[in-house]
Amino acid sequence: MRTGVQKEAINANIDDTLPIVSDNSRSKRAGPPSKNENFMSQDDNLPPDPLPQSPLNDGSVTTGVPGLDDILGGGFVEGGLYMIQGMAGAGKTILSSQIGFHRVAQGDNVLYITLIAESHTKLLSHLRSLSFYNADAISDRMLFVSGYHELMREGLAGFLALIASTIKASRPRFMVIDGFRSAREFSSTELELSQFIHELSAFVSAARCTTLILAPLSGNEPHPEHTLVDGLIELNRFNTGMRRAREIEVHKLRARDHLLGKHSFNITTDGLVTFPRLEASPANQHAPRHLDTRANFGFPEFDRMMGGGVVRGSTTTLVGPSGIGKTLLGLKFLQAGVESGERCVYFGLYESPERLIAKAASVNIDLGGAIEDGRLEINWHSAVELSIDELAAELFAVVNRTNASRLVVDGVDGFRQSANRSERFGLFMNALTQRLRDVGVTTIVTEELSLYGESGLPATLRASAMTENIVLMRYVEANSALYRMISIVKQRDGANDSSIRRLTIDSRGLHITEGFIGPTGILSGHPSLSPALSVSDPGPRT
Amino acid sequence: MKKILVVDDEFDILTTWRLVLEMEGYEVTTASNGRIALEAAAMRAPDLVITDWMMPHMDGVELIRHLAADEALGQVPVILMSAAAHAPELNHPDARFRRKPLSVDDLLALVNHLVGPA
Repeated sequence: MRTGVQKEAINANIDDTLPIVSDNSRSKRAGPPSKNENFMSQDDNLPPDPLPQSPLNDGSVTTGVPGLDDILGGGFVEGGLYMIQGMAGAGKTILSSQIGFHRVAQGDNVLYITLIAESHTKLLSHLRSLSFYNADAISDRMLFVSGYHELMREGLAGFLALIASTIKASRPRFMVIDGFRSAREFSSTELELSQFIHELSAFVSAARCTTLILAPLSGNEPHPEHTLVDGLIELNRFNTGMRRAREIEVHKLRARDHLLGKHSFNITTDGLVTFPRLEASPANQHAPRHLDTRANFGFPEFDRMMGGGVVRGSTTTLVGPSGIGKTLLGLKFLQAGVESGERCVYFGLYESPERLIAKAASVNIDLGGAIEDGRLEINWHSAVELSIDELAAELFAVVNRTNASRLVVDGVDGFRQSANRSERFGLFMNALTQRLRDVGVTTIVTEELSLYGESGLPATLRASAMTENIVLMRYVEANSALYRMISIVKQRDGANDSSIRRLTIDSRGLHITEGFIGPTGILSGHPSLSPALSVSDPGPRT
Repeated sequence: MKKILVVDDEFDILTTWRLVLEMEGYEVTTASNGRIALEAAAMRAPDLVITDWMMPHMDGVELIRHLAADEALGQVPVILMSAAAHAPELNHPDARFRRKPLSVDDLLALVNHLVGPA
């Protein structure tokens, strides 16, 4: 059989110049063929393709996996050999089948070769529940074959000959080799494995068949697999406390400007969904847009403090302890937006929509009508295990879908808690605010401050340090009662009122009265003199 | 003893069907693709061929076409098994398609129906 198989492979038109499956394949003559010497120029000699091929493009083979093409810098290179590695359960098979079905949808024929791996029937029955599965493609555009017998009987050379003859017969443009571990186990030396990978790489390049090999490895070790392939992608899991989060990392990708580092992903009924790290994305590497009109709060006293409102496209942090009125001030901002016909989004992590609407109504902020007619969208995320990039992706999805110009992110602490690695929070917030500016949305974020004393978080972990404007809200204790104080701490564009004023909240709404006169250190929570109330004061904690 | 030729590129399936059919008393030959199957059938004609569809070198549909064209083997009943959603067109006087996965009971009932007990 061996001779027959090899003869056929050698005689394939595409193989005329390929010594790699001949008996000489082990000789030095085969040499290390350059990956870039592909055989596209030989196409004239080829018989017409039996099936339509994908249209000519820039040589990028897209994966169709949400977010992954961005991570890969556009996709795979046509005819490249890539290794997808990850331990059992990492998602290698789902990822590669998902890409396979996507390639079928793009007009490619796809070949899925298994070694000792999940049986085809089991594999397909597991894939059947995923949305990308296309039963009609199986056996027609997507072939599943096992290379086990050839590998068993004839080793790596026999396996390569099988690949060659199958590629010749079915002309796939995308191939997956699942269970690559068996190939490694069948090679007697590392050199033999290197040679096989080298030959495979040259062959798939010549056949313009982009190929993924799946292996249960981890890390970027100097294995022959890693050094010889065109790309190395790892699927892994990150442990944080009791939580495990899925992560994808591109260790290596030739000829592509890929996003470095780890990115989180989920496996859903749509297959893999990846979330490129916001701060790693090149979308952030240009100068931010500048907008010079202002968005007001429909709250004249406060708007006066802000010098007429916040600059459009900017991000403002309302920072203060629980119950101080951050959410209500945010809702005022949205109310002003919907009243002037703008599209607004409330993106909340703590309060459910019903409670929020009731809370607003209790202080004379009526949002019901705006929600009904779609001017206001309340997007609420319960405290489940989401990754910070997933939250960001959802945030941008809703902002883009509604074409919103005003956004309140209530409880930015929820983002920090989803960060898994909190040290990235500062850069993340920077990227987030810049992206929001790019889409032209004016944003208010609320950030929790401890009730008494200073927040224990360093500046790099506080959202307020990353935003253009900061409004500080504090309780002040005086005469055995608590008073709400509000002050503009920072406003990047334009003048603002620097005084510390008093915020009162009652059933008619929010009000700002004159500040306290005399004491210092009010906003730190430790005033040095007992504050004197102004004559017009309406009483404590209203 | 009835002879059955089982053809599949997945070794675990070959092993399973060989064990199941041998326990029923059938004589079982296995082949890992259509081409090997054709050689095996030419050497010793089976009473029944059970084949997978998607295989390297020669797939099941092509195998069935070759069998049908063969004077000695043209009347041997064939079962084509595949995970594919739709049955292909089979130019064979006595061939049927079954979706994978197939249970042992279903396979044995079908084999018994086609060739009788061992």
